[in-house]
Amino acid sequence: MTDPTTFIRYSLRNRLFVLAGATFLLCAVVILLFFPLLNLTLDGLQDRTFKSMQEGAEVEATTIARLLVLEFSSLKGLMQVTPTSNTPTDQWIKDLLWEKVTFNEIIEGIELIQGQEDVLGRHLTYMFYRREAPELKPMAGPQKFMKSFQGLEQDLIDTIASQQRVDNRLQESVNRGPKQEGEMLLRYMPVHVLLADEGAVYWGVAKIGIDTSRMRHLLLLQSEEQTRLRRDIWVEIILSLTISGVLAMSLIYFWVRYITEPLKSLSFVAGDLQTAKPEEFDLWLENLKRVDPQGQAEVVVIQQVLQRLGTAVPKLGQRLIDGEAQACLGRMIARGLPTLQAWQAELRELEGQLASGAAASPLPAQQRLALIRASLETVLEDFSHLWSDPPEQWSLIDLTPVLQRAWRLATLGLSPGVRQHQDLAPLPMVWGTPAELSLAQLYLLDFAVDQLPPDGELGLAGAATPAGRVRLTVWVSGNSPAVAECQKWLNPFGDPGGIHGSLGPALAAGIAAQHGGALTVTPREEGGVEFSLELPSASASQDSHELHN
Amino acid sequence: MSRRNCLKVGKVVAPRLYPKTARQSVILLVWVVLFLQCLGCGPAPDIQPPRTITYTFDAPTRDLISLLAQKSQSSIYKNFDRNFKGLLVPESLLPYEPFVLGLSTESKIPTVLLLDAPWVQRYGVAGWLYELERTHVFDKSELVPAVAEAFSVSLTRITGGKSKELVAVPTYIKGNILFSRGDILKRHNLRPPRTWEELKAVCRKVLPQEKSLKFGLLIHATNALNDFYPILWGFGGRVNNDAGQFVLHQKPNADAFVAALKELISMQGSIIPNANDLKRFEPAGSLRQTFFRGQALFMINWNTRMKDLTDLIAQSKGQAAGNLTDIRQVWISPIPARTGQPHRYTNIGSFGWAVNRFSVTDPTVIANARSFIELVSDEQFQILAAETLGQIPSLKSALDKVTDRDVGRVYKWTFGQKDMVIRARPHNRRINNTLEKFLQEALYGLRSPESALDGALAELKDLMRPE
Repeated sequence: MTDPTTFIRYSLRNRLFVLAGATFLLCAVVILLFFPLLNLTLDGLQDRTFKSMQEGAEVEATTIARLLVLEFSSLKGLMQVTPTSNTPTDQWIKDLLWEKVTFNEIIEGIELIQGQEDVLGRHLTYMFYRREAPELKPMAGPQKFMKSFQGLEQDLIDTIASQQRVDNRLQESVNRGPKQEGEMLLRYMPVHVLLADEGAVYWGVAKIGIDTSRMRHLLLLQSEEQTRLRRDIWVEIILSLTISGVLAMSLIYFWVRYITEPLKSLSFVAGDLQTAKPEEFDLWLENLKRVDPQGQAEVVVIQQVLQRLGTAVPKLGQRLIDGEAQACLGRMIARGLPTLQAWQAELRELEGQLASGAAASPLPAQQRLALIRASLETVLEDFSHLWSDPPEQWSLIDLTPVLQRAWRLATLGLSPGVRQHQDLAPLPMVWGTPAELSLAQLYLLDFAVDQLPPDGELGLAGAATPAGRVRLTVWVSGNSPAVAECQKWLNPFGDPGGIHGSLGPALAAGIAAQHGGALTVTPREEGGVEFSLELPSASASQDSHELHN
Repeated sequence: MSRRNCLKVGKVVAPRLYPKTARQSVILLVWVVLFLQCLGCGPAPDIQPPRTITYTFDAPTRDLISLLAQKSQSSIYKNFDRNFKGLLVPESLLPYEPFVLGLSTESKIPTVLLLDAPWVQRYGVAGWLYELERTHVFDKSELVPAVAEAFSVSLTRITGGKSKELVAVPTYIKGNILFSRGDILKRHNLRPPRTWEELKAVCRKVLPQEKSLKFGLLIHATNALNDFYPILWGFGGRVNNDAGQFVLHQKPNADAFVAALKELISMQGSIIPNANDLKRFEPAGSLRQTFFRGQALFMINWNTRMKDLTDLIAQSKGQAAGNLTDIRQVWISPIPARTGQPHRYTNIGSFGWAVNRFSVTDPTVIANARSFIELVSDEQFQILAAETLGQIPSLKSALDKVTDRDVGRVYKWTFGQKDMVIRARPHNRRINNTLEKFLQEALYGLRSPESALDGALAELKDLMRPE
């Protein structure tokens, strides 16, 4: 999660972006669902329009047919003609039908069928259709049934309606409703001739065909209009979604940027803590304080907690260093205690012998006594240096005595089988605190002694590098550790759950870094491990220290 | 835990979140959205077209509506013209039967039309009229059964039902009846005759004793067919059957026609005016004038003549001796029938309100039509017509409440009689005109009854169907 790429991928900002995008897509899908609904609505509209147009055409057909029939009702000549007659009235009626059909575009054809038959059972039929020549064979229609018809007016209409397959249940009336015959809308209506002395006298049936091409044309126009409407609405929806999406995502971007900025800054600052050096803690804390929470409670809380942690960690570190130093000294004293006790016993014994004169040869005993006393004084003096050196006083230091004292203390009490190698060349002066540098050496030597096998080798070397730096090397024989394990010694907190062993190398590295130097730990080829501590020479180190201060 | 405690425990510095403002903003936004939703709310504008319905203009009905509007102060009658639009039919068009053309061509106009009883049969059988009882427009049981039957037709072809359906609502009962000089009959201790034999017997007894009486029975010299139809029916004859088909040529009907005509002709000279005297009765009103002057013992005429006689009595009180002085001198009864016939008949002259079947395109139309029919046929309307015009109410409830004694008397002794059948004449004018012509010729002695029948059947041959 600390990888920058991973961080960006899983950051709150990115997640908000994804969430906003997903929400917008969901809304877009919901909006797009309206398009199928729109299609259904348009289809319904088309059906309703078709129905209303059909009803309108039927009403128009009925009206036209009614007007014609009302006009026919004044044709008293109809009462005079019979199937056998061939009078001028016949021609007059034929001409009239021709005029009605020819000069009225909406009327496709007219048939007048007399209800009363002659003695031979024949019915009179006048017919004229615009689309068919009048001399053609008459269309299959009422006249076919009229020839065999006998009865009243209503019976005639019933017969026509039933034979013409008019659905009485739908039409409610026998002579109502259109019938598709070719491209015509047909109307059947009874014809009554108005006579003053007899009233409305039933004559027969009029069959009137109404043109329906106009309705089809209107339907075609409506269909095209709906297609155009669908396309326009689709384009408008997509355009609206695109514009609103761009606007929304732009606004969301700035908004998310704004509200996640404090958390992002805080996370960056908190991330710096992982790599911050002890001397960078103050700077880190300053950066932490500079994070603007912008009123976000969560950021404020985390910031405060981090500040407390940032303040506490250096103090805890100092306490840890102090404790480790004491522990290191404690271990050295404990390791050298048998030697010191042996010296004390031998010292008493020698003093007793010299006092009682029981010594076989007083001179060697006195020399031995002096040697032991000198050794004790050296040990005490070495320890006293550790306590007497001011811990934070920087000065020019000759590291050779410091190294010697550390070596003496570290090797005190080692088993006789251990081979000790000390190779100290003349070293340039360094700038630093004697107490700290002594502790650094002690940490390394103490750690090395802990790694030392019973019959192993322990070495200390000090030399100046070609670059003028001081290199101090502590090595110990034994098993070679892995490089990763060596790094763990330098960074024991890398694995929070796995702090094992001494903190000496890490603290020594810290002291080295504090003095502008560095500590490296490498496995030795012949076995064992080597600690190499490099310190800058006094001139370079002093400039850096003063600059730092 | 309150915010203050939380801060105290956590020691968190209170951030500047402006929670109240944000919450208020959200609430405000929600309210604005809700308000926007409500912008389109509210009742939909009333885009319903006006629902006035049309009806055939009828002057007497309009007069009564105006009278009711003045008397009752009811908004229903006052707003009559606003809700119902009357169609004035020119007098010149009436002979051409213009509504036959309209309804035969499925015209929606008029919605409600006033039809003479024969035309109710003609329109109903043709399927042009809306059935009223089945569709809950009018409850047939509210009407006097005899008149309700006269306005019912069989709609088997239309509805599939076998029973007769009420297709028009009569607002009054009008029919021809027998008027008698009740005071004379009472003086001779006689009752109105039930058969023609009884009538002839009464005349034979009374006429010689009452010198003021010149005629035993008066019938119309013009339009005598209206008087003849109930006589023919009383002899068991029919011109048309219930389906409207011409059946006079069938033997029972033809025999009845000849017998009835023979009966009338046999009475001419002694009881009925002879051919020469008949001419005296051709002018309008001559029949009732003669009866009013006390010159006739019996008269066949419309029941509405009862009101005319009352008016004549009121106008000429004490002017001449022998005139009627009190309407109670007049008795009324059904026209006699042939001996042995179970029923006596009247030729109905009532009009009824019917609904055009083609106008019923939505429930509003039929609701308005129902309102109209309720208005022009309700109890209040009929009682007023009875009190002012002497009309016989067709509603049973109106008959119970009417206070005019003569109206109640006419109903009780004529249309309310158990053996009384109210029947409509044939609607076909050609049939009526033809029969009228030959009836006149027979009454004027130009043809024998048999010849009159043969002549009529010859002219109406095209209407005959095989038996």
